[in-house]
Amino acid sequence: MDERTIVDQARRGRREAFEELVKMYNQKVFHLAFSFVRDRAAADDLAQEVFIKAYQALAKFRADSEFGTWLYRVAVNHIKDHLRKTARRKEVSLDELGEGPIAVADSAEERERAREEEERLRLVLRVLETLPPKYRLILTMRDVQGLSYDEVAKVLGVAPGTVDSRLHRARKMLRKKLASLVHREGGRA
Amino acid sequence: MKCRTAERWISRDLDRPLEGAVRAALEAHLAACPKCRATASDVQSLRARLGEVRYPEPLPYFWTRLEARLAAAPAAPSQAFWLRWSLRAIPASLALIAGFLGAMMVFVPTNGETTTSQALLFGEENPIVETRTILDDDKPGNRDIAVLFAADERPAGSIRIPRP
Repeated sequence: MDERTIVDQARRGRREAFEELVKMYNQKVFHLAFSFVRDRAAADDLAQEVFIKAYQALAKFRADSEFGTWLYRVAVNHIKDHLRKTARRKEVSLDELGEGPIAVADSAEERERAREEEERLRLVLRVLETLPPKYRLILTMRDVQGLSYDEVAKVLGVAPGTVDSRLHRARKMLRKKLASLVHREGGRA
Repeated sequence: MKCRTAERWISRDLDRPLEGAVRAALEAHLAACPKCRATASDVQSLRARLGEVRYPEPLPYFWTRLEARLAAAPAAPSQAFWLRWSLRAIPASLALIAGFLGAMMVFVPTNGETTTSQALLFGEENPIVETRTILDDDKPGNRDIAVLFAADERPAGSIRIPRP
């Protein structure tokens, strides 16, 4: 069954169809929330609230747009509201960042390389954390979650030119901050 | 090409690959500018690193917990409800309009039912004709009133003023 049919059934009130959509998107919504709150329980709670909102607003969803894009927009708005309400930033908990890309390493040399890679990745995430929310959001969607350029523009409701310049500024800021941190810590990212 | 422009194009190339003259200009600039070559390498490796980020999974039983919350959440008007409502509203509105038009046709007075005054009013006839119509009227009351008004129109000198 294709997504459009599932969405249509969910709009008609079929709970199983909505469950299917939740299973398709809960990880993406959760990751988006986690990239902001850095707390598994809080991100889980936010993701659930996003789905409740989406369920209640399903009637407003116009079938001519992509469900995923619409859901992302609901998620982004909800997360922004949440950040506005809490208005406090949590420090990055390094233990909560999940496993690095290299999970298996046989030799001591490989293990050392894997550890270094993981350390660099955590450093990048730490710096990403310090960016203003609008830059963090666009980088998370585009570079971390791999949303297409057009999807990012649709989710944020901005013109392609704005996506261009915002991504450029975000990457530049990330690079500068990272360089300065690495310089301070005497290492290399 | 200036370094600042080159930096912008480097970032843009990651999202929408450059083509033609712009790509050629950027490549020529990168070949000549070690600083921008380093920037391009940094931007690409950072992008790759961000793509490697792995976040933890949502907590277990996501749907089971969500289902319970959905049941407890205030029921939002479903699309089906609004759809049903609007589908019923269309024929109801049409019936209402038809009824109104029908009532207009039934209750609007026809020409045969108009009174003499209404006919005169709507007809906009000549005042002399109107007066004659009134005088010719069968009703004696109308004739008396017409005579009284005619008496008032006598010349001022012909009126006798009673003296004390």
